[in-house]
Amino acid sequence: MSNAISMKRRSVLAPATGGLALGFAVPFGTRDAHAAQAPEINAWVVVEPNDTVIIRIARSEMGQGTMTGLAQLVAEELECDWSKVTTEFPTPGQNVARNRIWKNFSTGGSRGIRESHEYVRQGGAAARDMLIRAAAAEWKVPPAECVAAKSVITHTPTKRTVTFGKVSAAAARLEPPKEVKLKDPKDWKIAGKGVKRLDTLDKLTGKLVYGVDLRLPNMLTATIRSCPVNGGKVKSFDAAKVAGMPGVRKVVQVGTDAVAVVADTYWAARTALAALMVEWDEGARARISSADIAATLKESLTAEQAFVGNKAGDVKAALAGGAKKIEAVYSYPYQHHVTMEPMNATALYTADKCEVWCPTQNGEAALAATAEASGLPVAKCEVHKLMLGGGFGRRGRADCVIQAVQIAKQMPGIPVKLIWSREEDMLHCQYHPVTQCKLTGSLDDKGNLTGLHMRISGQSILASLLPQNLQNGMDPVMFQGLNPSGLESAFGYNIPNLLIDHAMRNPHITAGFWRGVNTNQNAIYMECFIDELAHAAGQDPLAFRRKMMKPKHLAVLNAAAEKAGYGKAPKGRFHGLSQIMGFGSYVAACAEVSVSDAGTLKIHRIVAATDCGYAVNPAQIERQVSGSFVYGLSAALYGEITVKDGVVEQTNFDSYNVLRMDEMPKVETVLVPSGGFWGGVGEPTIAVAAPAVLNAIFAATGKRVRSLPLMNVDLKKA
Amino acid sequence: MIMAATALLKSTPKPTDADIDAAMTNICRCGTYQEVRAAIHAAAKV
Repeated sequence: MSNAISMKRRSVLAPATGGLALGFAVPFGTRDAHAAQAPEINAWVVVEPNDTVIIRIARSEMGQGTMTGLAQLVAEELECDWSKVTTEFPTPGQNVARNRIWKNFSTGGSRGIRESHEYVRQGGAAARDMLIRAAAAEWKVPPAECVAAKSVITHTPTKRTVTFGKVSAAAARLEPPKEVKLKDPKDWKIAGKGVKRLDTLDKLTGKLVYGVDLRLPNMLTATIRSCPVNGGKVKSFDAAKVAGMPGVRKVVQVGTDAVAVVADTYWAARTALAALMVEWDEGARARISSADIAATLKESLTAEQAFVGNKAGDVKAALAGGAKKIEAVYSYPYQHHVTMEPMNATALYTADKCEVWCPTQNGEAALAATAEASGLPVAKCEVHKLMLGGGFGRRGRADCVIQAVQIAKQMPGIPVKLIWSREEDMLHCQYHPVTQCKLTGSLDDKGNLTGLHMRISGQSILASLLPQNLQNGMDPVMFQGLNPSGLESAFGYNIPNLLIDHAMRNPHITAGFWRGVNTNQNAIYMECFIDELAHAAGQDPLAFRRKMMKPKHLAVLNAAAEKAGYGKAPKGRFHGLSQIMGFGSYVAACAEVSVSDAGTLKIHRIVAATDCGYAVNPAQIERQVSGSFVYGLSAALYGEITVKDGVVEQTNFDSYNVLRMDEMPKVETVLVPSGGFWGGVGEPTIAVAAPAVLNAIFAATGKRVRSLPLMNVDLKKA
Repeated sequence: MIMAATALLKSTPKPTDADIDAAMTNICRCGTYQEVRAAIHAAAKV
């Protein structure tokens, strides 16, 4: 990390070397002084005279490892020495200034590698070509007689060698090649290997700076309170009451719906904000509670109008003509991301420039927000991306950036760091959307599934955040994992008569992208109901599925079942299965659980299989898959946001629990990359966590859980 | 996490999985529990 800001992050990790050495140099561009002497070969690759290779990473790193994976892909084609690789993040402002040469900065939808693998590899290959041509020109030999390996170029006939660093300046002056040929993944030497992450050591020593840790000279700290009811407004507040409190510098209104205190320290700001009386205009939404939302969704389970996402045959006739008809209603609650690092952003505004430092999943959205909130043109704005203490979809949104700029604009020339309290974060998220689902299936007299109607009712993320992306009012993202075909998220079953539709109902709570997005509820609805149908047909859930599954979906399910020893669980333990395709990858899980007579659930073991096409860093994929169960099982066990009088009721981890180490099952990962496509890994596995466990609970207890979280469900044997 | 693990290893130099589970109540959202458990076992051997 050549642009890592050197600071003492926490005294326990790196004891301060005396004094208040908190001010430090902050790079205002990514190119450090030393890099300025090392010309870039192209946008992706800089080689310094000492052979250090700097690989530019456009996507955000938030622990998911995309930075290391993308660097592997560039390095593979560059043929550089992996031990000499370091990385840097170009800024969103530089991307705009250079006609978006680094393309998409947005880091969500498990797209980091699968959307950019081609152009970053081309960047590496082009740089290699230029380095070879530069060496060949120096030797006055044909480039075709030269090869590159481990940062060394060799003229094969004469065995002469030169390192990348010696010819990088000359290479930078050459024309880039018109086209480059990329390697066949089977020839990979750096990509495809489980190399160590590039950022581990800097994280361990505290060298990397997370947004909330940033300190700038003369910086003040702000904290904020928005109207507890989403959409409400500030009516009045009594600034004079707290203006004289210790450390307080200013009390400001932020936009129409929030008030902030700016102070010398976070604690001073927080203390004053707690004492500040604010009168809100909460509006009519203050009358809405969870029960009202649930009632609206329930009603729309049978509404006439619905958007059709997948359709085959004649489901009405099939359901009417089956030997057996099965029906069930499921529901999925609002959930919060609860990133460990609370929302924050730091802004410095002057009349002709506005700069923001923030942990963001979408640097360009943060830049656009900075320009809009400051009123300055984009060219006079800049965003410096800092490390993210968790993103999970929450940090794709720039709400906190807008507020930080709005505050900084009222204190020109002074950097202001806005930190949301955990309580503010709990109240003003864009939550995992709330839905219900009614499933109706018909079986013939041999137990074959002849018809299935899946009606989803509830909230659309696009309607909440990106209404311009709706297609004639329909939200196609609702059907993740349920689409008829495609490379993104195709439905895994061949069912002759099928209807999957969505009756959209949008409560006032903002819905947003939450790791796994709509695969989360869709997998529960479909995979648990398929389990119900199997039992109704008197068949084993795996055998029942196998009869109607598409080949790639089936292959991962088989891989998980086989490794788990499905059907041969140790005494007192029970297996449950689930599978889905999401974010371009096929995933499946087998959960092994026990439930005591008193109803205590223990998740002993999970076996998870993934086919992501190509595996760029298998070790990293295993960790992503394993981590997906922490996230998915936290949601299954505890994740529930409720609303009372328009306000979210949960305020902190005491009322919004997450899975701890003692509840973490052993996760075994089976990677079965079948090649030929590029799938994501950060999100798809989340979705199979809950249904695998719920199906195992049914096997253990005979109780069918159709509503989460599990903490609300009594599993005691009847 | 580092502080909790250090305290654990001071009082229980060779912890079992159960010891680790009981001592490490820190929240991790990204999912490193398995790795942390393995790291504490590794540190106990140093």
